[in-house]
Amino acid sequence: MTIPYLSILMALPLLGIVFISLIDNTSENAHKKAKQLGLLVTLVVFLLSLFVLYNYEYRIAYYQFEEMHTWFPGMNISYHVGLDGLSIYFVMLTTLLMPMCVMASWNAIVENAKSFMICLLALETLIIGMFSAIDLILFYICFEGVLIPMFFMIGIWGGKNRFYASFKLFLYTLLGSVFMLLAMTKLYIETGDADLPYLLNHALPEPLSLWLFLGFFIAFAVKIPIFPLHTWLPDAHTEAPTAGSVLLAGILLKMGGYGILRICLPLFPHAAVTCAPYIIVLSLIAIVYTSLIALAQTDMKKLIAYSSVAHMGFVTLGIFHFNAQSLSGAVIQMLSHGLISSALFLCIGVLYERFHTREIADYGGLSRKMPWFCGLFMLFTMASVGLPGTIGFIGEMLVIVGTFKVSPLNATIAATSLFLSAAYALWLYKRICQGPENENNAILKTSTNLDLNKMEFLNLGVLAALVVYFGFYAQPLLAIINPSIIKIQAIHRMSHYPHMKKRQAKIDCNADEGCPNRNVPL
Amino acid sequence: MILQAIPNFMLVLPEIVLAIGVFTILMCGVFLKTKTNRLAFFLARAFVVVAIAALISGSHAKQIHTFNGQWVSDYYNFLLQFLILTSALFVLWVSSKSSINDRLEAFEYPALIMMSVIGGLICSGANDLLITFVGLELMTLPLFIMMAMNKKHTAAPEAALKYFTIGAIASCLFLFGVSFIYGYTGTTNFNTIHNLLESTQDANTYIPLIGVSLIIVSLALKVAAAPVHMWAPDVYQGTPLTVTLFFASIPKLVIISVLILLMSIPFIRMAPLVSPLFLTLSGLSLVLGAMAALKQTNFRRLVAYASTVNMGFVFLVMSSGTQMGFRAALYFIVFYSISTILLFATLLQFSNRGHEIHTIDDLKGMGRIHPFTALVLAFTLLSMAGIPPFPGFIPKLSVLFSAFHHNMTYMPLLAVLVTVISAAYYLKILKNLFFLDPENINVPSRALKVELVQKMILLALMGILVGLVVFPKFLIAATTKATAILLYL
Repeated sequence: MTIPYLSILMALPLLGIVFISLIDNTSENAHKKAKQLGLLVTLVVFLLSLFVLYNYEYRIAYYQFEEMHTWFPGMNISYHVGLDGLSIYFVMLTTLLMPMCVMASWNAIVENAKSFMICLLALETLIIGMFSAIDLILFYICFEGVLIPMFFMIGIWGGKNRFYASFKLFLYTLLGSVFMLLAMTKLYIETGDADLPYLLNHALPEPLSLWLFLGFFIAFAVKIPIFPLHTWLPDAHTEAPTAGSVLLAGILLKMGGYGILRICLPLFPHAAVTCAPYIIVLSLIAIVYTSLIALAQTDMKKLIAYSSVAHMGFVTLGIFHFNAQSLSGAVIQMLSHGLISSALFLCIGVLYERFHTREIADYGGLSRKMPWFCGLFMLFTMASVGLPGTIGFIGEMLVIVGTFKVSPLNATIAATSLFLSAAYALWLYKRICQGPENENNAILKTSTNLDLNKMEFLNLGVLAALVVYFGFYAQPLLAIINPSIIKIQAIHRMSHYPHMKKRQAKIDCNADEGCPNRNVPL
Repeated sequence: MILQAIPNFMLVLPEIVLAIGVFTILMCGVFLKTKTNRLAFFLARAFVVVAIAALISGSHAKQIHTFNGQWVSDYYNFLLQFLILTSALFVLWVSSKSSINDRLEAFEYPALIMMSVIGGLICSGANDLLITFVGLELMTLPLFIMMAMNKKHTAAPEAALKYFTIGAIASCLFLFGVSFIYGYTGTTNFNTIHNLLESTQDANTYIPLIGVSLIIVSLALKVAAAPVHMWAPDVYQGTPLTVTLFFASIPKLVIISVLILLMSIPFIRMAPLVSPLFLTLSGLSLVLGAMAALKQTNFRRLVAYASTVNMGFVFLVMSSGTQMGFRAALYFIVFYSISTILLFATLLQFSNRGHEIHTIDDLKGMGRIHPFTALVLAFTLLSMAGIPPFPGFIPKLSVLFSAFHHNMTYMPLLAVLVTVISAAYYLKILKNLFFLDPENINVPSRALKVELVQKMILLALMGILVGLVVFPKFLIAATTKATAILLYL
């Protein structure tokens, strides 16, 4: 009997929630016990996911660790989960970031720590569920389900403007998601099935396909976020607690990109090609415009938040150029952004815990008193710029190379981000870490041990090691991601080029007769 | 239609059991000297359990007509009676403690609940318009008494009078509609009306259409759908919570099931003609309910408007006139009634601990003082809002499936936009519960613990909701079979 690894991965955090909620709230060490239990559960989940990665066969492009149970009998909606090259690294990213979030909130969250851990664990279940979902209904439930814990995390433990930020996050993302709900429902009614592999073999009439694409796309566009729909992000990121920001930037934004790659491109290739020019323009605007906005920020967290929008602009740019380099570049960019901006938000969390301010003007000359911090912070800001040797470079390079193949102009505009991001990143670093120590910062003048403590060093160190390792040797990532990327790209090629239609007809199958293996070599 | 000299009383065993229970409670209350409140509730619960046992022991495999064709016993009847009785059991269980706090200590209170439940059971098995009317009246008359029972409540008599007036108007409209149908067909029996309407040669069926429309509007009036929903906020605000617990959940279940029954058996031929009426009711309920709820500061009025919005969803799928639509409506209203019981149970829990919830500001900081109850309240509200991953999302999904199946495009769009708007006011409540600090001076330094029994009730209801979503096949199969029996037999 095959062990249902994915269900166990999803069930363990729920088990953790049950145990944490049994902790007596009135005891003195309740918050410590809650955090210890949370750390234990997230570490166990991380180790289990490492085991899953170890057992992952990277030469196969199809789903592994697949589980299918009928959920709504007779309605073709099932609990269908599985991992493939696209999703496994996102699941790994999730399970990696969760213990780091617990450790980041070790000293920061004291009041209601129990509830905070419960929110984190609920998020973990839902995010892993979303990335491993193959059934559309399950995908939607997990996609929208992450809003509730996030709402609570921002609203209860957030900054000064937290009510506005949490409401904006929730309502904005909900509004986007309901369009996906409509599109998904229409798709289900038209085809009779909510299972993604079945839907991939089912052609749709043309005007409907465009509307469905737009419906799904709006939801993902709000999540990624794509340029005009990004205004929830700065508020949500700045007002969230450190762990919340790490999760938001590290994983939740990737849900949008993953959704486009998983659902929009394979199911609606014609519509994707039709809408691509507009989306590319929006991505380019995102890259350039938000970098300029980041340059003008005085709040550290808002600066990194806007830089997140710019980085995710690369993702959509890469996706909608539809070739293998840019698609895999988009995925790598998502993973790299997940590591790098999580690290940056962790760094800001370190600073906030010590100095209780996010204004850049309050900082200056930290490198004397916090050398380790400044060293790692330098590494991460340079990774954010895309310095070769860090994983940020791999993602941006692949995207720009892929974009250049299709449109050199787009690539040039995208490449301007390199010096724009260098501008705000280097300037941020200089204002915070270099130069003379800030006269007005009393804590800086008087405190002695301001540098990273063991937990923070562990968090940032692991992230730094990953950033540098994959910056030099990205093959482990690419080897697993590429088969799925090639599959997506093949669907596009076949539907976009008419002379490939005959091959398409051979590969298309009639669902009544059972589908042959879709791994047709191209 | 089967003409029998002696009706088959075994088919109405649950009603008989409950009627005996009512009389037993009344007799005990009159003749026993000691405080009879607890005994009355215990007897009520016992009789409801016996009624459920009687219901389950009867066989509902085939459709049997009795009482001269005025009563039908089939799977729809069984399902509805089962749902009504189990909901009543939960209501009685929760009310038994809270009725003391609301000073509804009279022993008549559980008897009134049981009489109302008998009315609901009659509605579900009726095969005749007049029997349906009798059931509806029997269901609502005790409600008037229950609302006005405690003379010390300041707002309750006003609410009771409003509800009484509206209920009377609704009953008049219902009878007016029945009279049109009777005038056109000469009978009030469902099956006969069905046959006559099917086989009518008239090109224009205006007269039965007027009749059906009046009946639908009267039922919409009873269930607080817009534009006839104006009574609901005042009534919800004024009545004691114990009464609202009962009258917000079970009568709505009964009335919607009556509506499904009416639209599937006698008036099935009218369904395409009254579909615009349903859509209008639905659209207005969704929009007016959500808009009004956004502005509310009183929590109970907000719940009333939120229930209007939910009725909008039900009417949306009722407009289709097909089995799929009716099944989605039944599925939705089952979830809705369980959620409502859970909602008012949590509010009663707050009241039991001394915090009467009237305005939304009263909820400030309840997450700190009563964390468990506040969490259950959050669960319920998010479930009613239809936010995944909470259980209330699945009925909304089922409504959307049905809507798209019948090629509606703008109504589902309206429905989901209203979902987003309604999320705003639900979130406002959550904000008050969890984000803000309590304003009360007497804030206990530690959170209060909930009694185990109360916790068990709340957890049981939550567990039912979650179980219905994780293992949906029971309720889906039940509702499909029930509505199929209505339409295809």
